[in-house]
Amino acid sequence: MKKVISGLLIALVLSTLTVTTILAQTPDKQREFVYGLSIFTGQQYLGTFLPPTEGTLYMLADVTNVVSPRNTLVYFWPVTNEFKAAWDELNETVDGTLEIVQGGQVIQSLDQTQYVVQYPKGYKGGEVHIYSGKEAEAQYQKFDEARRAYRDEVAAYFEATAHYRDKVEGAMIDGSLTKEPEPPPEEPKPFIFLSTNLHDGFPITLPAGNYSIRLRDEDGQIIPESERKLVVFSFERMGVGYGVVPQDKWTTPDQSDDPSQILYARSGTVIYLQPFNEGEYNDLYFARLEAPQSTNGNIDHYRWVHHRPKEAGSLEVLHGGQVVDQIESKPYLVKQLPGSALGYEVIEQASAEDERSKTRTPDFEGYEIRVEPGQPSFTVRLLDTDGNVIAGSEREIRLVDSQYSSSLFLMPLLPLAIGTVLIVWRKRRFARLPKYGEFAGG
Amino acid sequence: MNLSSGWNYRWHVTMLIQKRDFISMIFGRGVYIVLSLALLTAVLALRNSLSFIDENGLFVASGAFTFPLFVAIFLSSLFLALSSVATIARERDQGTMEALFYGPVDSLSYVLGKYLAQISLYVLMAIVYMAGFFLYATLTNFTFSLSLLWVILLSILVASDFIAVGIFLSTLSSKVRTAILLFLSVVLLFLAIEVGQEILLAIPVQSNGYYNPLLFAQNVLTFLNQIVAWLSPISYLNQGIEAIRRGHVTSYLIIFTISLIYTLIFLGLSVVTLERKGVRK
Repeated sequence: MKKVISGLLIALVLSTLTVTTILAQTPDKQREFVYGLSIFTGQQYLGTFLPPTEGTLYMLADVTNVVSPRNTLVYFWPVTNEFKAAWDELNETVDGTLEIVQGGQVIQSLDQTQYVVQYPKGYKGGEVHIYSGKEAEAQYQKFDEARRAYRDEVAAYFEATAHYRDKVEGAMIDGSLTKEPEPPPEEPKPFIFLSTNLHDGFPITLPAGNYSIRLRDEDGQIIPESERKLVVFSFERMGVGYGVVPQDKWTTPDQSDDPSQILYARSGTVIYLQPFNEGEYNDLYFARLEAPQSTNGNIDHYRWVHHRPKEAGSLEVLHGGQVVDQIESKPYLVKQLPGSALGYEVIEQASAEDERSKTRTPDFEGYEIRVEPGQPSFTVRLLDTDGNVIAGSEREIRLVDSQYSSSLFLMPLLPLAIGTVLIVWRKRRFARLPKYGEFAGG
Repeated sequence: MNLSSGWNYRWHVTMLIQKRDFISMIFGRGVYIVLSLALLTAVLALRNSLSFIDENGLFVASGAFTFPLFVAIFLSSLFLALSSVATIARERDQGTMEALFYGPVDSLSYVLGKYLAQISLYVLMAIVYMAGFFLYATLTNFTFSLSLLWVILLSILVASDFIAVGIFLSTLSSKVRTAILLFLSVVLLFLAIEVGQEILLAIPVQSNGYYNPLLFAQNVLTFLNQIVAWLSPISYLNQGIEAIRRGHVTSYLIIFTISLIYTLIFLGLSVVTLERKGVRK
């Protein structure tokens, strides 16, 4: 009997667990009209979507962004509190003409076309292109050819390497290897060219302003759920930002975005400056651009956004307004120190001892600055390749002095001391005055 | 007595009230405690930055003194506003105000005298802060930038707004405790809305329509903050600092002008309230 009851209980618990698991993993999915988005962030294209709950779409002015009307299955994902699209289950292109409306007037009617986004030097290489129409097909074809060529190069390399290994091993076995073998085949350079597949969408390039978009179907009717507001915004300011890499903490670089920022350093600090083009944008607009469902962002605040790495010439160092040095950007390698203690050193790639280190991809590049004792403050600024000063690239670097940090506590005591002296003086002064009774009594 | 000499006489009375209150505060303990607290805050902030630099080698910041200066302005303005709330309500409560008004004092000269006493003390405190911060900057090599002077200039109007609100609230109430509670409630409400919005907006909540309580709270506080942005002197200070940081001279001048108008409105309201309510207990 006990066994029967136990068996029933186990079965009950297991069935409960099973039901719970199934409920947790199958959110309720609704077929919805959404806009798939390829939004330019100033650095790269971000793939996201605009669910029916969001009435406004944000994008940068004067650059091409793509909206793609789609029918898909939308579900709410409570873990991240956002709506998600089940693209792999349903990804249906909605045909029609996209109308861009401003002030009640249709200012553009666009036809759907193919587009592709490509990064010829990789995501971090700083170069990004978006192509549409026939050019998209041609550029994708080029990418595909380059990819095939790389695949062939890799295959040839593996074949050559196998052949080389057999040859060397054979020579070792038969004893004919009397000198250093010839160098192994050269490895093909990594393939960093990235491209999306060809997709359908409406490339949009607009000046800053408030618009609305809507999709007119093939029967000439506006699809009601396609109407959304469109906020196209531009930068408030452009500038030069710096990634600031401390030598002893190179994996956690700092940033200097605003020209008013000062780099305070202790004596002996070595830093590497990595310049970026940057733009200052409205905080709320940019937050919604990056994540259309986000509720973050403050309409009254602004934020700097790093765009692409700045291609520049030298970095000038100024003392008291006079140029005292010019620094060039160089590639650096991070070398782990031997031994049980954790540590590393940063070395200039050109000064590396072995040939492989000299030719490999550097760990980072930057302008090296050493904060030496005896230089309480100096300024750096970037020159373009023609030797002109790049506006907004100036930064002041100051060597802080902490030797008097304990003495700083004396200052807050000063007002208390002065106040005490004044109050005591006044009390004594009034104490010396004759009291009313004494005066009247003579 | 002609009109010109009437105004001269009123100005003379105003300056007498100003002088009396100014001296009274100079020989009080409050001002020195506030000065020390503000300078102590600056020391703690600077030492924190110094420790960070010692440990990490590098610290990137717009202004090492922005936060200490903000605290100093807030503490000083609050203290002066509270002291104006207390003195006016106390003088009414104790009958001093009535006695003064039997003499040559009228509502305008009284309100102006009180206001000028507080604001002249603030200017003195601001000079002390500048001297203190300059000394700190010299000792540590943190930058004492020109932008600090622009902040200080704006802070005079921010303090002026605080004082004007304090005077206005004190004219509404005849009890010291009521006036102070009223003033503190208003200041705390403004602060709660401003800080609350900042905190809530920093929480990464994704949209789930209006059913999400956090999203609802964010929307409500954002709306309230838009109103508070026009009413709170601290909001003017924040906007002014942001305008200085971004080099927006026009925005700075607009905030400067709005702050000035704000002070004039509340001083005007104080005079009207005092006229209507009378000076008796």
